[in-house]
Amino acid sequence: MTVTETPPEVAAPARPAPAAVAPAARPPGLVAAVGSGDHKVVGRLYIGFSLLFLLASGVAGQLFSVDRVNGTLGDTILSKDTWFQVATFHSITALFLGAVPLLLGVAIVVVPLQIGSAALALPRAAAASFWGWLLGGGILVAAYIANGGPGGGSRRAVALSITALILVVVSLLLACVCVATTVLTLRAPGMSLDRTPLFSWSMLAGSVLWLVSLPTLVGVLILAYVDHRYGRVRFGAGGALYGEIRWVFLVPQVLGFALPVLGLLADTGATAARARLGQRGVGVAAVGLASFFSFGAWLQLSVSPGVTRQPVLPALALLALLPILAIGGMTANGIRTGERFRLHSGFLFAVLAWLQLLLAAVLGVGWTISRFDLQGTTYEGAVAHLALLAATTAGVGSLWYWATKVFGRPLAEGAGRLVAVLLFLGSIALAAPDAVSGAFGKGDEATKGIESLNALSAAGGGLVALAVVVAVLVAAMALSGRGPHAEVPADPWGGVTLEWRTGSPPPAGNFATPPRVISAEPMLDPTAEEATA
Amino acid sequence: MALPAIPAAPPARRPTRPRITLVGTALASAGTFMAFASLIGVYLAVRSQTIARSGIWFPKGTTIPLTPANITLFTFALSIVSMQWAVHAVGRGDHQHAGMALLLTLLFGASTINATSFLWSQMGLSVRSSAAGVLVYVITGAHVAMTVAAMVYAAVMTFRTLGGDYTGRDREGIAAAALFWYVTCAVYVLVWYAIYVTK
Repeated sequence: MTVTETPPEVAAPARPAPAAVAPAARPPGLVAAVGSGDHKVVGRLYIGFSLLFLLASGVAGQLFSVDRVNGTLGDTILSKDTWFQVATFHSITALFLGAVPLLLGVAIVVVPLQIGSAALALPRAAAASFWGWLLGGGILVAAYIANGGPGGGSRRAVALSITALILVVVSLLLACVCVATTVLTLRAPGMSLDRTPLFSWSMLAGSVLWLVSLPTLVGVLILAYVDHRYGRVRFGAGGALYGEIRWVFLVPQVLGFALPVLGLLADTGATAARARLGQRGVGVAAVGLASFFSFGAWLQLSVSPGVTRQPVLPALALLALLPILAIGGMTANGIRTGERFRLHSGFLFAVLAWLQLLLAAVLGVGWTISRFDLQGTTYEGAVAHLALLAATTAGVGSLWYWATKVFGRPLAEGAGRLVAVLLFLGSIALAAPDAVSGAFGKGDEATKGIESLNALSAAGGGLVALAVVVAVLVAAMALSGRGPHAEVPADPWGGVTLEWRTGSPPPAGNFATPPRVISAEPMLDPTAEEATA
Repeated sequence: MALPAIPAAPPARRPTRPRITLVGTALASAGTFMAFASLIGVYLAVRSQTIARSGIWFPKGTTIPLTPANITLFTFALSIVSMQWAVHAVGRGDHQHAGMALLLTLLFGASTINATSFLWSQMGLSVRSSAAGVLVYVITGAHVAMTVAAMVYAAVMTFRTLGGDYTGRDREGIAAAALFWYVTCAVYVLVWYAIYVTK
């Protein structure tokens, strides 16, 4: 056969129009969810299951609160053997199965959209992190049911609960790696780190903080497991196990779990005012400093019981307060100088979460001053409750703010405002009595005479639980296709960041054309046509 | 007859994608390092408290021979050279040298595990006996696990690179594996000093 380069003399017949290609069949629901590496699917799974775990945690918290109303523990609805397990189940699930994974789930959905990326970095690792977390969470709950957990009576179940908690924390750390890597490597052209939306920036700061602090928890849990199984010398026997992990619920570490509150406040504030926030650099620095000052892995009370009495701790707690105030001031200034003010539910959630965090930080300063003698009292629980509820309020508020991106439809505004107010009032009613009873010398739960404060605290817990129930119902309705959805606008709030440029729900690949940005608020920049005109 | 001059190699191509694997590995390595840092911190604090209380740290009959630990330290130091050789060879597209360097690194890794297990057999320390037993076995055992993970990661990334996953001169994968390997070596220096030298 001879091959020549001579073009044919006759024109080639026109190509037939390509036949329409049938879209690949999408696998049905469960198969799509299990096998998906799509960040929106993985994020939704995290959100859904973390809300369910929050409910379980809330129920346990209510049982504990009601049991202690009469001033003693373990003699009404809980027994002397179980009250401690119920209390630790409440705190561990609220943090590691509720607040943190809820925020990570939101970040897994939203961060790639905010930074103009087509996908999450390391998507298979993100999927693995979710399934590992869910498996670990399920085993942890099962281990508690089998008399495990700190203070548990079954040696095997306690060992199982330690293993499960290690799996949960390692999985969350893997998710942190994915979120932080996404922000560091997949930003749209033109989006330098200082132009990164503040929610994404706060998730980067939070992820890095958790990545350098929570491995300490993994290390001591491994130590506790080996000691529990083989040594039974010091590190994990009986109730001592909770002493190994107590530092994550103390100032300053507990404030670090609520870091995304700062980013959410700034982003929703800019949307509410539809304005560029002034002193943006201050905001970026404030979030970074808040992350730095919240590092609390050095508070290993089981090894050094006197570490919380060191003078550096009050100084750090005071410093941790400043970035929170700075972000609040920056947002307030942006609202003051903005072209409008629209109080949408996302901003309401963010403001209330910021107030919770501020209160936690202020009370936390008092907790660190050793002459007040508040350590080990109910005051400590009040600070932890406020900080973790700030994180929860921000997580639930993110669902309302980014509902069109997460669920593909808006959530009811009225329900959102109701949930926000319930969460805020509930958190105050829950924490304030504990802070008062701790501060005025009746902090020990076993002390008689604080029944009315305990009852008020239990009522606050009930409000919080009610708010979570409403949020779960609204989210379930959105996921099942009910609720308002006639027209789903790409940008229902008039937002200023990049996620509002793409459709609702976002298409595969997130953006039809890769975005290029020239400022921190791309939605306020003139389009190419406007610039040409 | 004069041989024609060998043309210079073209400049390395810029990576076609951001360094996701490298950044992700750096973050994961930082987390792993912190886990070991905390364990060693706990070790030193408990050791100091125990000595202040009872005057001894390891139970009677325990010996911590320094020779296997030193050999392990030198082996890790050599493995850094061989690992960097693998990175360099992959960057040049030299499959033969990359394979040899990787094999050598894996051998070094295996020999460190062997030396550590030999050391365990010589110590005469029971995990049930004391806090020292629990801490020593947790820290050294976790480091052996980290070494195995680093060996698997290095092997997978080398084969992926040589297989074409990272095309051309893009050596991000093997560079990421090398980073984790170097952190493994750095952690061993801490373990060596805190446990084997200070005893």
